[in-house]
Amino acid sequence: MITIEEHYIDTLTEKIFRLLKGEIPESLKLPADFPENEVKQTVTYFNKFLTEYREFSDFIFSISQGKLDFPPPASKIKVMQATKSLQSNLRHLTWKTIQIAGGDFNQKIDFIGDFSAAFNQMTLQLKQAFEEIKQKNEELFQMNEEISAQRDEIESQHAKLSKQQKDILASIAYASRIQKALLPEENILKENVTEYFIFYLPRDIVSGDFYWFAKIDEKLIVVAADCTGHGVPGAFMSMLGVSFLNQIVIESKIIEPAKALNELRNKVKISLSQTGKRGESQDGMDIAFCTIDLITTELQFAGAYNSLFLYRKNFSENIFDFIEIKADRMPIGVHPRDNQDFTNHSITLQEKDRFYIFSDGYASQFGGEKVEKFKTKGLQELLLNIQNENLTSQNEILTKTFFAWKRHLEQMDDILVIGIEI
Amino acid sequence: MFREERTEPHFTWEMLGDIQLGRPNLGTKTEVAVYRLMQFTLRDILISEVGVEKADEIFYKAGQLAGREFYKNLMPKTYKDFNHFVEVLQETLKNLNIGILRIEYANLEKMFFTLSVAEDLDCSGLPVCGEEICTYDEGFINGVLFEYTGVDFRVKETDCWCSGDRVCRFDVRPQEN
Repeated sequence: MITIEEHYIDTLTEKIFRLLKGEIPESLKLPADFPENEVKQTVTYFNKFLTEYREFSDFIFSISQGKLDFPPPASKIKVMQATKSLQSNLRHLTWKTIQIAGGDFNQKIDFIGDFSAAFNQMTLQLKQAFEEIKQKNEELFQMNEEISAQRDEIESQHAKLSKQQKDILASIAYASRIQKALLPEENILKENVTEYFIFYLPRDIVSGDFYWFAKIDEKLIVVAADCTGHGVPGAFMSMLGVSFLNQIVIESKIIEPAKALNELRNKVKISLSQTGKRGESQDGMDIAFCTIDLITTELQFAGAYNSLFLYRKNFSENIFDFIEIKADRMPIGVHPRDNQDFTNHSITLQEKDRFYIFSDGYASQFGGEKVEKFKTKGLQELLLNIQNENLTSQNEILTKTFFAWKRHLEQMDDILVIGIEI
Repeated sequence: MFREERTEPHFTWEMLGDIQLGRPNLGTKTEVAVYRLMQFTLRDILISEVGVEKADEIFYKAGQLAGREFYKNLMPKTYKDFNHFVEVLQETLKNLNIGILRIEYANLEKMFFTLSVAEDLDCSGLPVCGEEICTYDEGFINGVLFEYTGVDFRVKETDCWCSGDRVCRFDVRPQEN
């Protein structure tokens, strides 16, 4: 029969009680001289259980915190074995997840219950999603390649076009020099009239509008012409016009305006093979042709669509009277009435008289608040309002008014306005 | 063929014979207990004849040879990378009901690995005796990895069903020499 002191039983009971309360008590200590008996054996096993329980607690706590590398304690108790299995599975899952994150979507998990199926399904969906993205990326890459190729082609075409444009502009710029060289020297006007201005503003580099002067004996010939079109085609026609005027006026000495225009019309029609049939060229020019007798101050005028404005000072009332010498309503070129002669007008200029001939470019310019044409009436009123100014100032006002009217809008046509005071 | 004296292994895969032909009715499979019966009776006799240490060495070498032949005869020869190799090895071991191989840790730079085999053919369900006994498995893993990598690994079982664990865990790293 073993006798045992009661406090050993109390101590053992207290430690079991504390274990059940969630504490991990210290080992139970026996005196060194405690006899080798069943009590000592019970205490030894109890202390061994405490040790393994403590190790297991640390182990499971570490795993619960995600510390999967915690070295598993050597223990044979069932919960420890199960926890080691759990640790093994978690570490394996971690490795699998790393492989999948690295792009290996063929990784699968087996024999971990429903989790295996769910995990494998997730991996499969990831694989499909990535393959879809990969395919989309490949398509995008392919599209990008095609776009790049198209862009290169466009850039190549653009470079070619730029070079062609540059070459064309260079040619036109050179043509402009030729055209300017064909325009008459302004000295003829400078030396023979009191005052004058030429407001000449081509829409493009070369112009379909041109002016032409000549002096035959004491007769001053002044012409303002507006060829069909503008730019290069207009410039070609203007060169034809200049050439014919030289022939008619300088060589043939035809200085009466109506006769000169009749002759000019004949030459244009012949040179452009205009017989009046359908489908032929309708090209030609509008023109204002003046011949001024510098001795008598008689002004003769004939016009093809383009009229002449005359402003005469009424000294008694200190106002300016406006006189318009109307042009014929037919052009230099083929026309239903081209068998009719142009009308020759005559008027004797008085002191301070100013006359103006022009193309329709100024009047047809769109602008203003309502974006409308400036109109011939507008030009007529503008000129009337600035008659107190000298002609140089008038030129400046015409220029400023034009750009103020046009604002940001495109210039519609070539512009030519000539003002003269004999 | 089987009974010739030899100083080094002469094993060839043909020694396993045409099982399909030889067992048209019973088939190619048998009970795990039959496999274990042969292994543990052999282990028993070997230990009694040559001692524990020598018996373990023999089992390790036999496993090593089996692993190499297993790789050469039952696995593909080319892999995209190590992960692909592991994937195929896992699948092959599973399909042959050898065990469920899992990688717990892999450091490809240092060639350190921690593998576990659950439901192991050799030891799962054995009585807990506090011993690691899967020396044949250690050799087997060494043989397979050697064929794939050309590296001689030291494979050491750190946890075993027989030592009270539910899986066999192996620490694998290159031999120090």
